[in-house]
Amino acid sequence: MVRVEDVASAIADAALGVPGVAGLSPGPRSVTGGVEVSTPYPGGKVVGVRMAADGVTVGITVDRVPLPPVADQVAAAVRRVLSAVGDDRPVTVVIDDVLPEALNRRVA
Amino acid sequence: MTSSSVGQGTTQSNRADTSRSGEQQRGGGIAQKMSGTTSAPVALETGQGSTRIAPEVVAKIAGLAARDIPGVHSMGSGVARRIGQIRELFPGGSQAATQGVSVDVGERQAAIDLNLVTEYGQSIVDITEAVRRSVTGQVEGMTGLKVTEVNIQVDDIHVESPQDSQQSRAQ
Repeated sequence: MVRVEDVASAIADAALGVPGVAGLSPGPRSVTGGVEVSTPYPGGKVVGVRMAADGVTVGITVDRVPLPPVADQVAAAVRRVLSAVGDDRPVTVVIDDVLPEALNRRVA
Repeated sequence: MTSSSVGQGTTQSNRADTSRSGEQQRGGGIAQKMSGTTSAPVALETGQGSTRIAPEVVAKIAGLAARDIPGVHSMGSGVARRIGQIRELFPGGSQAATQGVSVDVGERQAAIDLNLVTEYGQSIVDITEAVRRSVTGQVEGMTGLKVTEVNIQVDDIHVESPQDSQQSRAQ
């Protein structure tokens, strides 16, 4: 049986591996329905990934613009992890912050 | 004599003599919830002897497993929490591990009721699911009892105040 926190950690790693993702974030509460984007497990929690029954949410901070391609790649990476364990929940990517250096790294 | 059952298929007995079948009872509801456990140990029958696991054992494992989940701030209903806070004031005093836990233990099964206080800003659904997984896994793993149900009541929600974040919480 696959443990939820293991899937959440794999999703976190996959998201962090996408170029342009500076880090994971518990998310802005205004966007996430007042709920922290995290997965609690015994002894800790995976911050930035929430495995809810109605979908998986990933909170990220981004260090380059434009943002949509980064978000799309994160969503694709997360879906790859989910499909590997036979999970077809919808994926939502929440961009919590854009780092200042993003403006210097603008790609055409 | 009250005869009520929470667990599905569980048997509750206040007597150590489990061979006497029939009248299974859960016993004095409120007083028992306060103390956290039922009184009689139970027997795991095998071919070469029996194993008895006291409800306190199951309650303690369940309590520790639940507290392991971040987002669980404390345990127990209002009165139990207040008593726990008073206990903490004394040197060496700490909240009982069984605080907020009440269990029904049968010969092979256990049903567990939990009273929790969760942290503000966390999904109660996520926390209770994690608590349920943790409690079920640890109780089943350590005792060999099958956990039929984990009923969770969220009694309060804890909002972090500036004072709390400065001084570490004693739990």
